[in-house]
Amino acid sequence: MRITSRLVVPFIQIYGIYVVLHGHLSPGGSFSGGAIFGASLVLVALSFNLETGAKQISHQTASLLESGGVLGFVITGLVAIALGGNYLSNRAAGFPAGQAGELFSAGAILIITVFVGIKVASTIVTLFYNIIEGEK
Amino acid sequence: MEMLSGIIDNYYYMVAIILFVIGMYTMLTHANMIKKVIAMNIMDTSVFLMFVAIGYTHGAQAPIIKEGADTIYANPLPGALILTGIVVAVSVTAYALSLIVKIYRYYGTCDYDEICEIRSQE
Amino acid sequence: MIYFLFAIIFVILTLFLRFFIGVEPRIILTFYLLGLIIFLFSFTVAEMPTFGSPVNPAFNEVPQRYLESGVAETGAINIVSSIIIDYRAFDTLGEATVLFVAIAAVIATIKAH
Repeated sequence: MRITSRLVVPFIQIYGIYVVLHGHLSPGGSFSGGAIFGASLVLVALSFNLETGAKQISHQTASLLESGGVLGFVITGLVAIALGGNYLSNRAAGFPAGQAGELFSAGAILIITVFVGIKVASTIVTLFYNIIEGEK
Repeated sequence: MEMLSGIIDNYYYMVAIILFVIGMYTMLTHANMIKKVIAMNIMDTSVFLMFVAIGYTHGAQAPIIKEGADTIYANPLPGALILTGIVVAVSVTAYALSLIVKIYRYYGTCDYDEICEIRSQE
Repeated sequence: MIYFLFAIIFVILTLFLRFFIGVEPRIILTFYLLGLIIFLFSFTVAEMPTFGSPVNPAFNEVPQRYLESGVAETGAINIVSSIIIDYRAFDTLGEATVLFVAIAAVIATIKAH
């Protein structure tokens, strides 16, 4: 089990990052990609012992990343106000929009997808650690 | 009878209702509390199935625009609303499981009937 | 007259299940209640619009506008992503808040003194 999980975990992480980054081109998006990435870290903590899992992402880093995800979402909306438009607007405010079908198109969608993906992944890791080792 | 042909044509909704009833039966009769949480998840899944099955037409494809003359796309609106519902279901399941962990540490059992007996004897 | 027949069938079935097979009365009552729910809901399912018909009432002008001018207005090919992040981004903000509050509630419950 340990050899298999050590071989498989990098592929799961690459697949999770692929699903998050191609959120506007293929089915998937922020929630499913973040869940896949978080599940790979839980797999490392389950097949080895808990200290090896805590070395991948420590508790402080997971809490910081989770708060940073929500903050990034809110600040993107405020940037849209600063660029001249309504709150959380995409084309009317002037985000750079490339051609349809490229990877870096539709400005605000890519930024928001990455932020929410980071948030969901650290949510799953934080849930697992708190339920397993609560109250010491 | 036209009612029987109506039910057989809309078999997706009938399967959703049967799943809901199975979840409700498990929640009412089994005493283990983790089985009740699993049954709540089954009921949530049945509601999602019924909502997403509303927006389908025969011969439709996934709503990802491809270059082509005219292809029928499925309705994207119910699927976009259910994404929020799935996240809410996950949150409620996580909170219910954390409450079960606290109850197990206090009473020492995960059985609902035994907990009622312990509480009625104090 | 047919209700009398149904009542007699129910009483005989209940007595048979209770004394011959040994099922508890609580489970028998649950079966009856769920059978009643399935029976009532099958009338609703028979009168819903046909599954997969092109004249569905849920396919009015709102999804058609999203499908036609979704690529030109936002720039994303995936229409579901453009709906939940561009057209209705405020609902996604509320949903991220719900996730955050759930995590805070779990931590506050587990690590209470």
